[in-house]
Amino acid sequence: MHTTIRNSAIGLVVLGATLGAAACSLNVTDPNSASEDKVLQSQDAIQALAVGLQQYYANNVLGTLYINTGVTSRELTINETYLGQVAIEEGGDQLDGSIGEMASIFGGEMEVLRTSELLLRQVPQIAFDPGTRSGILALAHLYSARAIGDLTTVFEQVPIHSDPDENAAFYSRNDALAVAIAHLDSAARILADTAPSTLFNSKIKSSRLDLLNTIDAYRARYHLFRGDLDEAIEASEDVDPAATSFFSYDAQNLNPFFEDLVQSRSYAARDDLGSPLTEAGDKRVSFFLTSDPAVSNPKQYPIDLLGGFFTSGTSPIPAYIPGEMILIRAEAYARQHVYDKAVAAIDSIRTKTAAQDPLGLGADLPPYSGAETEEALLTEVYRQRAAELYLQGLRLEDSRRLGRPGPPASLDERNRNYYPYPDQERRNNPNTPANPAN
Amino acid sequence: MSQHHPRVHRTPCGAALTVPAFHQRDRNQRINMDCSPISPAAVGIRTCRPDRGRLLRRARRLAMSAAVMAIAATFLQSPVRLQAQAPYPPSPDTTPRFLLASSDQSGRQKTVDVGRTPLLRQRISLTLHDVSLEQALRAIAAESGLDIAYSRTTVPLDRIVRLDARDITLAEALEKVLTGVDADVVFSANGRAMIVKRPPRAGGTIVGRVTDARSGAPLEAVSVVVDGTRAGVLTGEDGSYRIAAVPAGEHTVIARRIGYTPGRQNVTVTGDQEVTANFELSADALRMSEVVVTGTSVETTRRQLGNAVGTVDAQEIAKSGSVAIDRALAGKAAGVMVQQNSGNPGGGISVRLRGTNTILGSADPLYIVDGVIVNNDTPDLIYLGGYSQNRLVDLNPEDVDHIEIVKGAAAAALYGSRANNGVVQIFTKRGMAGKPRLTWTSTVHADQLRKRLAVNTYPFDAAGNPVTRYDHQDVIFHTGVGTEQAASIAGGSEASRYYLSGGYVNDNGIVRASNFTRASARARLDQTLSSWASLSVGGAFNFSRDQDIPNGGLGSLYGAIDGFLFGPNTYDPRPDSNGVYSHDGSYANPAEVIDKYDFAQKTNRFIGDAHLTITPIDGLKLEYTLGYDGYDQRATAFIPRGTGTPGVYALGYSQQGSRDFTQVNNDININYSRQLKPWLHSTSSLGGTVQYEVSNSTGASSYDLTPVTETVPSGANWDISEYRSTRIVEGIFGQQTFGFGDRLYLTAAGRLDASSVFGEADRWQAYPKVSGSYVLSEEDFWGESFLGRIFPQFKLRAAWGNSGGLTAIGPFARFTNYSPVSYENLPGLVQQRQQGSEIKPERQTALEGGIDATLFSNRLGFELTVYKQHTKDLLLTRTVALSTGFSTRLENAGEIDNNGVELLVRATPVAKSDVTWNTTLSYSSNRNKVSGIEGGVRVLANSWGLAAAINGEPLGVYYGAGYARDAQGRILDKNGDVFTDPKTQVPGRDPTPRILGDPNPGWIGSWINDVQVGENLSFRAQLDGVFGNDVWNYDARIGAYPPYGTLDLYGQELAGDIAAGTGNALWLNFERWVEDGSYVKVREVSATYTFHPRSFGISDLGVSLIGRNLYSFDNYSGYDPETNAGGQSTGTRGYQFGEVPIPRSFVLRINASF
Repeated sequence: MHTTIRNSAIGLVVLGATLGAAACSLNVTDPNSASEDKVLQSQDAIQALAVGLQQYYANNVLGTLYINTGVTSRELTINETYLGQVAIEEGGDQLDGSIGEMASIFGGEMEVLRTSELLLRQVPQIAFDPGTRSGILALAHLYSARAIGDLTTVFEQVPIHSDPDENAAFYSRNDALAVAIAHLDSAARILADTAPSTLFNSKIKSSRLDLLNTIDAYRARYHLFRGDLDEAIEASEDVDPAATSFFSYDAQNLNPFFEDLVQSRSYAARDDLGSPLTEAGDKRVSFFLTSDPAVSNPKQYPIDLLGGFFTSGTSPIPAYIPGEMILIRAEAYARQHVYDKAVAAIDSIRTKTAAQDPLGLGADLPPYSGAETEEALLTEVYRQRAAELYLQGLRLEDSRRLGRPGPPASLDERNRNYYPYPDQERRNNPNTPANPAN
Repeated sequence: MSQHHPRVHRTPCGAALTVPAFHQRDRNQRINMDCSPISPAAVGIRTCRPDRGRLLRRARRLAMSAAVMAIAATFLQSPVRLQAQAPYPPSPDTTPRFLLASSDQSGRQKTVDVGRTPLLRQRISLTLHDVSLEQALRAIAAESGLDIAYSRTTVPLDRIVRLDARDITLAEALEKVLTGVDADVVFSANGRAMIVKRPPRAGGTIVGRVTDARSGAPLEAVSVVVDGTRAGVLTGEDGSYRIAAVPAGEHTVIARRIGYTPGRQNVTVTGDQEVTANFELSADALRMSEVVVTGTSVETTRRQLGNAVGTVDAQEIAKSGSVAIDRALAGKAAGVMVQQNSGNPGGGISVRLRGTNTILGSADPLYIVDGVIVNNDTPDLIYLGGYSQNRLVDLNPEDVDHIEIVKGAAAAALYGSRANNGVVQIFTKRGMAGKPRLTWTSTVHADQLRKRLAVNTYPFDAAGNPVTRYDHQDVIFHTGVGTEQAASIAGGSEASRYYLSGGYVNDNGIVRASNFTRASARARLDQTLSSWASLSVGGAFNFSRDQDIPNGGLGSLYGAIDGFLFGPNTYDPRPDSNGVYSHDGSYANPAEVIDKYDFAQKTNRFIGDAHLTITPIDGLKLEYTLGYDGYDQRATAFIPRGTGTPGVYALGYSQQGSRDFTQVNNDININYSRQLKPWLHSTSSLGGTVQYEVSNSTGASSYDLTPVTETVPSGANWDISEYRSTRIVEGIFGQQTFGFGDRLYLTAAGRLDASSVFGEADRWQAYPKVSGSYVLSEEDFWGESFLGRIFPQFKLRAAWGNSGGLTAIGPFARFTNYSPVSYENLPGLVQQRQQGSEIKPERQTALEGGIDATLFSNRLGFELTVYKQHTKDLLLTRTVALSTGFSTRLENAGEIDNNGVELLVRATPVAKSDVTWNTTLSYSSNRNKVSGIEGGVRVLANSWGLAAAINGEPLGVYYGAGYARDAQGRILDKNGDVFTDPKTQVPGRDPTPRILGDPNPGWIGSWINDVQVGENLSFRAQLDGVFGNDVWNYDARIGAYPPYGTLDLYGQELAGDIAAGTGNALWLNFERWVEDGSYVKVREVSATYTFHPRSFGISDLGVSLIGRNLYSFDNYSGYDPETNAGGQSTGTRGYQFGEVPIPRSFVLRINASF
């Protein structure tokens, strides 16, 4: 009998151990955050990812790009002396790839691109209703275009895809912009085929983002950057001049200009919208700025208090300015030497009053009276863009494209033409191009 | 354990293999075919008639079963007959009696007169050479025609007997084969013979006294056991013992104590008699016979070990006067660095075994209590300024019986992926058979600040205005008085032994209002289930409570000592007559912090274990261990509205955090031990483990409290957090040890381990180990040569192994995770970090070699070990190409080397009848080196950017701006001239960061002396030394900086003894604040008087006076170079910033045994 007990006991122990081993799976799930493999299989999670994409862009990417390029193109000035801030303000050789802001801008845009690519790849695999599917796909195309387009405003060459193997290829700005435009064309086509569902419009898309008009506005913008002048004019005319489109902010996601320029004043707005061409009497100056005797630290630049689209933490920031479409046409016509149309477009901006603009932006200036030459008109276009598109993250691109004085000759209006590539990218991606000289 | 099983070739009954009884079931079935039960009632009793054919078939079957056993050792048996069993000495106690089965109900049996029984007188002739008893009985049955019945459970049928007889009586034949079997032959009415177990005879008593062989002094707490039984006791303080109810017969009594060679004596116990067995134990300077469990999978004597193992016994812990186990370990073993990070009563401890082997993970060893993996996390539920408790503080040191410390490769096989930092196994006390033994210990201690900082007393401020200066240390520190009570009762019968204990600690810190309370209860029951099974069940409940005052630290600065350091000391911190505190300080008013803050922590913890041990056959042992460790820790912090604390804290702050933790480990361990040949012993082990670890943490905090209220919801700005974690570890291991002639031991082992924290591809990891030990002094050539005269004992050992590290990676760090966000009130997900699915455990390869030897006729023994540890695949977050869409990724990068030497010397310089002096010296040096870090320099988290991991340098070197120096290395002043006169020159600064110091000591050592004077008085002293380490003295930096200026350094600048502007110039010159942290501390001094009053039932009464941390010899200008404001952090070491210094303690301890 003892033998039986003994054998049973041994059996029990072995059985117990076996069961113990079998009962526990080593694949433990994380209840604290969502793992990617699960996110990509769930309809709800994909929806949330589309929401998160918009949140991340508005909250983490837009401000970093707009504020840093704003300092480079002298719209803004630093008002604290952290290492990175000082380097951005100094520009030239002082700004190198080790500066964290380079990594923030490049990395932020690449994360937007990667998330958009995930959505583009994964949404077709999930059983969404057609309207929701088309909405999310169009949104992902829009953000892909925006990320690539943003990168082209500050870097000489840019990736057009994220690459998990740390081997992403870099493309010229023109090639990259073509890819961005292709994304926008796809977005427009998808929306034309299937209208977005109510679910998409109410539960996924940011409430004040006008998807169709924004797509067309960016098509016009990127065609202009590429020099596809006819396409730029055509696309700009597709945009409803009365429409507005915004990146929204809320209590959890504060307007970055409000945080950095109004609340903490780590940065400050320079007098006269930071442009030497700003005309006296331009009412857009008082739209954006309140006069103030303060000077910046450490450069002692005169600075003003910022208002405009940045008065509170929850103020939305326009996704594009309606006046940009008019100025795109003005520039395109000027370049095509169709001066009358160019002047007409410029005048419609110069004479526009606040009441006539969906965003309340009105220069309320007399009509253009300068020379009708390409050079003079492009200078006037720049003058108007500097005011109309103040703090839209476009000043560096405009200054370069419209031939304003720049390095190495002058650092007055912009202290870099293109940013150096982040060291972190260079260390890990062999395709990283050589840094531009300035 | 080493019973010989000689091989049998030819017997009258045919051939058979000697097979362990592992396959009894199979064997019994076979036997049933040729045996039939004599009665239905006697199940398992069989009569047997020989049947050669069937026996042969059975033998074949058994041989196959043997093969199935497949323990490698079995295959190594050679078919050569080795030796014959010696004939048993005839003795009335060991020979069988011939009895008649009783026919009445009395149960009394009548003895058969052998001479008058023809059956027993019949003569037979037999030649049995080393056959099993079963075969012998069959042969006798066949030869005589007698039916013999027996039961396997009462008769050891595998026993090898030998009978070479011509013409002897049947009775003689039976007597010969059954001698020593402890059986009688009972004849039933029908003439059958039954072999039955002899009824128990009346027990006797063994008494005796154990003394030290050299000094003759009595030895206390020696474990005296009767071999092969569970009977055993501990000697009292006079060295005497008494074991009652020992079964009559021959027994071996064994006396064991750590540090002594075990004594063995054979005694013959007769019923109701007292026999005496006195022992004189010789000190074993090498502790070669000490049994070690940790890292060996089976109890192993030190002589067999290829690696150094540190052991610490209860006495050493008791005499340390420490309330925490890890604190008591300081200086007790070589290669063990114990650092007390805070002088608070429950203050945190860091233990490093052979250096630091990780950067991101925890560098503390794995702790195991009675087979239960216990958690030693440092949950920072509220921020107390770098001071946090490590949860080993929950355990009561009074319950500790002994501790084993295993470093390096040795731990690999058993603990696999958790073994990188070594293993500390704690064994708690157990009951022994005998009358209840009651002990009671009562301790009172007074703790005080050992050294004060010199404060600025200059009576004018920088502008020359007269000021009154205060020493804020007056309102912070006081003498903290604490008490400790502990009681235990232990005892039991041979079958059931128990140990019950309770303890209560109430410890007041040297910072006013800081207090640590711990109540604990522990119970253990050891139950013998049968001759082959036993169960041990234990449980401990601990309740720890901490009343905290935040101080210092690398995070928030709302503490009391911060308030003192930041000063200025020109205001009176005490409240005025209206109870209003001055808020003139830069930070909080220290008196207000102490009086008004309420920071507290509570922990409830249960640790339980169950062990089932089965020894189905001699040499085979199966052990199953279930361990459970669970605790709830809850912390609350409250700063009322309106204090002078800077920032939002002035609006009132409330925080609460809680964490529940559960860990379960299931271990199964199968050992088979066998003497294969006279010169070859084998031990084989197979084991498996499954470990679960689950924890949940929640936290909530708020600022801007409604007046008077204290809870989080009363605040305006809330922050809540929650984190849940699950980890699972599974592992299997195998180990094989061969012992050659008791002198050469070779061990090979391997463990396969998987942890849920790693991805499937890299989850299973193999950790091999080999080790060897060669006791050269056992060789004849050694003993005969001069070497034997110089080194009476000499052992060489070496070990190599791999182990892993799990702690550097979070439970879910291998996933690409998305965090929840909210955007316009819609739920969103945003990617967090990149997956590390290809990551694997940090892997260490350790190699060690050493010599254990004695000198001077064994009066001095030393253990010398040299080791080399290389840890590769360090888990580090490296930056990735941003075009991946990610910024960082956890990867296996980086390496750490730890190379070092350990030396332990034990000696008995004086051993006279009235005075014994034992001394122990330990020395350890370790060189730590980091390599393979991306970019060469990685600044460590929570170090203010001033500690780094730098390729080619030790981990945690100080890295920052220092003095401007010229090409000759001379310090320059701020004008670029050579700095010679601090009174007139202000030193210059070089802003380029460089290495400024190293918190890792070059070597550590300790010197312990025990002196026993007469029978009653003993003294003990321990000095601990740490050499070659640096310390950041931030206290001095702050106190010298003019805006704060609380310390004498600024006073000197005001007085003109130091050039004006020096404090400002040195604020960002960190080199100035790195100081030599070397020290020698008088760690423990104690005097104990023990006597035996024999009244009130007290058998022993001891009174000890203990001093702890009485004095420190150092050149450090701050409080104490031992503390660390980085708490139990791995890389951030040696930061003195407002941390509570380690107090000087005076302890009075009274213990009594009943």
